[in-house]
Amino acid sequence: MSPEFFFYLPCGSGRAVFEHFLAKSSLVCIPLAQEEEGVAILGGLSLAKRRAVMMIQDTGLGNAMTVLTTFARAYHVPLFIVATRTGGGREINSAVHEYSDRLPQVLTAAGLHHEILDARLPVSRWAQRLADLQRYAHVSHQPVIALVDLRWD
Amino acid sequence: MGLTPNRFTRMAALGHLWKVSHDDIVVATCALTSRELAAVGHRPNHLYVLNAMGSAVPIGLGLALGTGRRTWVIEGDGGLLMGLNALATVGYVQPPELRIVVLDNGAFCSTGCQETAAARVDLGACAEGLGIPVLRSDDEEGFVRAVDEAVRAEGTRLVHARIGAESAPDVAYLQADPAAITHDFVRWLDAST
Repeated sequence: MSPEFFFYLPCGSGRAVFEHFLAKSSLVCIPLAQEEEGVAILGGLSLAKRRAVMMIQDTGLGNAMTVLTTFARAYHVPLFIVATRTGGGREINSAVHEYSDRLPQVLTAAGLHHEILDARLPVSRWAQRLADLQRYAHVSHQPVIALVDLRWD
Repeated sequence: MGLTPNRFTRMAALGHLWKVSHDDIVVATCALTSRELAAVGHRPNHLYVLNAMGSAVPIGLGLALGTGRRTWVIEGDGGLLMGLNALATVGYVQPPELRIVVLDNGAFCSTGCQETAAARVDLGACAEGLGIPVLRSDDEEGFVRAVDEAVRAEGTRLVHARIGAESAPDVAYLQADPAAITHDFVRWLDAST
């Protein structure tokens, strides 16, 4: 993917991935206060033709719905977001299911392109798939979201 | 405190910003601010954020970070309050080319001038608390001085300008296709870089 900038709001299930990026000295890593601002910052960088990625929990997509639709989509701004999945049988938070279970349908209804990566796709193919999704954001001039489930055995 | 009893208008403030920003990136917040800026004089270096209230500052942060060019964000008190957390990220990043101008009348004047929290809360002090150097003004003369100082400054600056509640009459709605706004803005950005 070769991003220049990495914006993050961490997630326990993705700790190893976050720490991988944060350890890269070639990458500008910036913590976010909230996901909505992350989409907007990524949008500005995208207009400047810089490579950036944002990694957040999927719960934060709800916080960012207005800017995703009325800025990123409406203005045809390509950007790539990796969101770790919450909910499901391995979730420890008893409140989050009400959101997480319905999120893919919400994203579909909002016209936000997304794809779920989980145990159904061999992990050896994830890097290529993520790179393809990032490329798709740029050729289709829209936000693209990878919903990744990192809660493996 | 209520609405600021101030005769310095948003339109006058935008007129001065227009004069100093012809070669710079300009990100304007939604509603009357974008409409009045377009009425002062549309230029392709203007990125009008027609919705996404509260996102003008982080969009400007991304542009300043990505281009290294002076970037003006024109925000109101209502919009800043909606995305106040972005000031913490600005304070963390300190992009040297970012200039944020907050036109603060203590009210949501695009919807009838209902009071905002800024009527009692000092937004300039909030920014200072987050590590952003602030230039303050209460009138036109002070605003011109603050903006000119922001032009000369090295490093992030926020101009906190108290303005009156008066808006320009009969300013046209901006109903361009947002994709066309992006197209014109990016074409200008590419050509001028």
